[in-house]
Amino acid sequence: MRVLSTILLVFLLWVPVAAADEFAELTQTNRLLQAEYELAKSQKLYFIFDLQASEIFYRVSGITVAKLPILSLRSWGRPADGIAYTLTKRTARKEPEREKIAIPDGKEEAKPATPPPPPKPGEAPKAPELQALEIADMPTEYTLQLDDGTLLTVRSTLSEKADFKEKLRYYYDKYSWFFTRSLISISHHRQGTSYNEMLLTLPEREARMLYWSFQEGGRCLVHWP
Amino acid sequence: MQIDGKHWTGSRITGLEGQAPPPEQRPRRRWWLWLLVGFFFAIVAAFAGVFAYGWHLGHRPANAQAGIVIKDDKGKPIAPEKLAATNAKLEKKMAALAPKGQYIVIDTANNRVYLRDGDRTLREMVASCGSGNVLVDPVGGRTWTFDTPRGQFQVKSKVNNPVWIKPDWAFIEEGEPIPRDPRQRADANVMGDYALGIGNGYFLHGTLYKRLLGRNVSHGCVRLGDEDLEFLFKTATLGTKVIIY
Repeated sequence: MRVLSTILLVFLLWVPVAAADEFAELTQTNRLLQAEYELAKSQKLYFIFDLQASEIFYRVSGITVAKLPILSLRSWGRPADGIAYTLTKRTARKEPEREKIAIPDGKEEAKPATPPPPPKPGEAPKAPELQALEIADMPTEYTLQLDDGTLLTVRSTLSEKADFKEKLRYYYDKYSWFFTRSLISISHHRQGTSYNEMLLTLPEREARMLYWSFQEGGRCLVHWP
Repeated sequence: MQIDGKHWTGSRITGLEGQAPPPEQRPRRRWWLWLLVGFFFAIVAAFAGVFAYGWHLGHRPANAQAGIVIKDDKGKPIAPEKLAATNAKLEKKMAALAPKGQYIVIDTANNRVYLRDGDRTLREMVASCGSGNVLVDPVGGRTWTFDTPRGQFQVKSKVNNPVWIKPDWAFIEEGEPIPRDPRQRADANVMGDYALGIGNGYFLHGTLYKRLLGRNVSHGCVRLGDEDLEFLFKTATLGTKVIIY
């Protein structure tokens, strides 16, 4: 009898908790869907940072046109769900620069273009040097600042070619992250604001791709973990 | 006499006279060591305290999550049991916004064009998109940035044997004078056999520089190889959606 009453008590306590969890999940889904529907109606490109699924989706009109994997994630703070954010600022250690086209002097005679020497046997032909802004010029370490002050910090995995200085900086950033964020949080708290940051580690090419595509004024949604 | 577990004799103390302090005073000298240890632990405790307080601040549940009430179109709160149905309705509304039938997706970072139908990719094509370079008119000060525009467009025109009407920048870039006669702007040999217009003077067209396909070299248009261009021209209809990112 005692066992039965205990089971009944546990069941009675468990049912409302489970129902509340389900309702919270449905509420969160609803807010995200409503926010995404508004973005989809605009017919513009928008981004979904799905931190639960560790993926970044490029979407237009509700359809996914590309997706990037997130290798690892660290989060600090917890902004509100179901809000469409606008990218206000991108900051990189080394910003890519557009090249200005040099205009040839009309008086000069056009020199005949000399073809590049053929590659030696067994050697891959070299890609021609171009005056262009390409994906390889994009940074792999940068910060995306959203309109509510939330920061999405993007890092790529440590390249095999990284020198000692780069390795030192990488490991310093990696291990000091939590402590420095604590100090920043206290500083923000004293000013009456909250500090939210996500550190996303992406493969090198994908980190460059995100910088290429997600430009100031771009909209995004974040599914927080 | 017993000090620090060692046995000291009167003769040994006498022998050290004038060279070392009496052994009774030695333990008193360690006060600085205890101070150092205490200071170290105080620093560690302070760091731990700051970290714990910062951690607490950074991991509080968001206030904005509390007390959320989902409302319907008329502003009435939705009952929990109806929320799942409301979400399903929203998903259906979103699906209705997706392009119908085939559509074109252009990846300017990787210089690829995809013909897609729903989630399926029907064909992948190598292209050349905008170089991102900047041209400044040394006389008038006008500026052009050669980016491929991004967003959602649609095929607005389809042209066989297109003729390029060279804009001002094409002459400025070559250091040539801008002609007054419009006929001198026409160039029939550079756009390939077909062109698909997506508005604002941007086209998907052919190229003479096929070895540069896969690189960002164009002035904003999307260049394709002959076979891919012919396929796309025959497949896409007026109104086909073009998504560029």
